[in-house]
Amino acid sequence: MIHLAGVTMSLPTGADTTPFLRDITVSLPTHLRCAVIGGLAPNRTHFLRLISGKERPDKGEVLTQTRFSIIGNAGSYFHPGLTGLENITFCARRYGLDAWSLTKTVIAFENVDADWPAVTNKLPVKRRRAMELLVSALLPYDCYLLDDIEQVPPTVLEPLFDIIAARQAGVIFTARTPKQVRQFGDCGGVIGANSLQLFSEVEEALAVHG
Amino acid sequence: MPPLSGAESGFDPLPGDGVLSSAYAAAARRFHVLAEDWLIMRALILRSLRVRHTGNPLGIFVEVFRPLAICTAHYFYFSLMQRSVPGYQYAIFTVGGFSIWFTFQAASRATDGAKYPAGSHNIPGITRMHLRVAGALWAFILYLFFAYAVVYPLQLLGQPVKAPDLVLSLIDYGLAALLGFSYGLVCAAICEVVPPLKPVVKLMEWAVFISSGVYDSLLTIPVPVAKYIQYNPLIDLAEYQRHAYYSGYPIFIVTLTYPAIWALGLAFFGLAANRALGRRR
Repeated sequence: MIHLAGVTMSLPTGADTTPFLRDITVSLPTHLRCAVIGGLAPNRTHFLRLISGKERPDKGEVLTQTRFSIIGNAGSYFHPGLTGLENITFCARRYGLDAWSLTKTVIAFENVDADWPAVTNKLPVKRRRAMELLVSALLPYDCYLLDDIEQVPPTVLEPLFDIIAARQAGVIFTARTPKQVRQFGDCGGVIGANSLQLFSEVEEALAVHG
Repeated sequence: MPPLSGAESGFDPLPGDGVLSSAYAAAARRFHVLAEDWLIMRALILRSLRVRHTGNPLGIFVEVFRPLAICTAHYFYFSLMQRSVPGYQYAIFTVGGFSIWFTFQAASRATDGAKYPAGSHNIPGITRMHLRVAGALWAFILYLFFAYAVVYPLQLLGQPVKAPDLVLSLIDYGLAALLGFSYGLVCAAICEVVPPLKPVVKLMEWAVFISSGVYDSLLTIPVPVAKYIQYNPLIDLAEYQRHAYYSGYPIFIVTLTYPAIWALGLAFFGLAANRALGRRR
């Protein structure tokens, strides 16, 4: 679980700041597939950054012992000047994993276009994004974070959720459309009016979101 | 091993549950963090080298060519000009002084390098501070290696040079890297708070270089100049590194305590400023 206790957070808008969350207290499950909807896209990204610990609240506390993944689809972490293989090796080294095994596992997912020529060359942006998502799903975490899943090609999204399910890990993802929320969510959270409401059923969350 | 936290007891974990059951468990957790940091540093250093030297046929060895070229040029300059250096050991004088300066310079610039993390700080556990420390750590490793690597070519050229004292070299290059890292942090903080001071900070680096003992020894420069230059902690390190190569090199007017105090003091202020500015950002 992740507990947000009395969290207030503002976001910079030019020289000024806009309140985003105001004194919210909520507990999000990190072992389920939790869809977060509502609010503006940058706000949803900031919310994921807040729970991953990359951003701090202005007030209140974020309490958790869960190990969160890289926020998928919200900023690159592969170096554009390196090949796929070199980037995978970097990730493997960071976690003390065997780079060769990780590379072979990435290549095993043929539907993300990660063949040998792809990993041994510098990657075009689209392929790099797909491979980043796949590698982040293959790294060991308790809960995976995924931003704006409509942007992820279905050929990548489905194996991604399969890997996470096989790990028995949770996912917190943000989405815009009800279709993706219904397809992948177990529960839902709605961001709106400086608050976050949590629902045990995605249909309830969608009904509130409208 | 005793359980590290309440998380393993099967109950819903809360930070308050993470009570460590013994000092042993606390130590185990501490070492886990250090091991994690070591993995990050290693990955960042290797990635940075890969990025910088991809496509270069000489690869990583390019890193030592620049210091080698500068040291060679200065060696010939010093010996042709018959500069007054203790013992007239020009090779030792040049390598000892410049390698300390390069360590300091590379470590201080590592704090700038953290501006270009190429997304690595998006990975959980990797912070900008890791990038900075990795840069400083690489400066330490590279110039320590350089200090030993130059010995054999110098011997081939007939120079009476022996491998430097390991313990003294570790202390010297370690202090130079820490000093550079801390100085870089303080300068970065000054430039962030008062941007018009950037040219002054740049000039200050030149002043530190000129007075760092690469061109002169405290024993051979006129007293009125030495009176001011002795305040630069790098000159103490340069003299000690020359002593590490040649035990007859005089070090009676320098000390390692002085640069150590500077390094720790600057580290304290640099880290505090970095923390304060991090909150403000």
